[in-house]
Amino acid sequence: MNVLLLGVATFLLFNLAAGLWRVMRGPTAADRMLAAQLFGTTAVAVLLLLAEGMEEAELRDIALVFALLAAVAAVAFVRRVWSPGARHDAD
Amino acid sequence: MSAGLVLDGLLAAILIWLAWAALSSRDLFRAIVLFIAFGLVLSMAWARLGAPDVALAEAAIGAGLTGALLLATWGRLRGRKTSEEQPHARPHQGEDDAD
Repeated sequence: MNVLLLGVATFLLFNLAAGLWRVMRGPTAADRMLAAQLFGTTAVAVLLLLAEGMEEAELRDIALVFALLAAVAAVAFVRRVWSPGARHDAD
Repeated sequence: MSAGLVLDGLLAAILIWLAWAALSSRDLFRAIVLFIAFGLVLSMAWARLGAPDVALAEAAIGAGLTGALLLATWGRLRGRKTSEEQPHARPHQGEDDAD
């Protein structure tokens, strides 16, 4: 049970590492920000699996804070950064 | 605990790569997003090391608040740069016949 949960968390972490590719070469800023949102969701899942696997209930609170953090980052991005139609070209 | 060893090694590798990528990125927005991802992964590393309080502080302050502030700052910088008309400044090419 413990090994299964840690294995699934490792698989999700590999997913996060694969999502870094989109952060590195997303053509627009929205692509990069959506990849960061994916990282937030993946981190919530990994922390919930770790909370079950390591028998530490405090990790669920950190997962809750991560869910809040992703929403705050998305709101900051949409209000302050994103203008539709603007192509933010990376060098 | 070989599964835990793989998880910890992967966390450490992603952390080191993210730190290098965020520091060496020439695009500011990409560096900000990489910094947010670095905060997320570092918080998972603290949780894995058995320090949930530090992980909570890192998630709230290191990734969340600082990330939102950096995003707001980047938007304000870009707005100031694009509010005025972009002067079509051509680089001086030496003996180029610029009329």
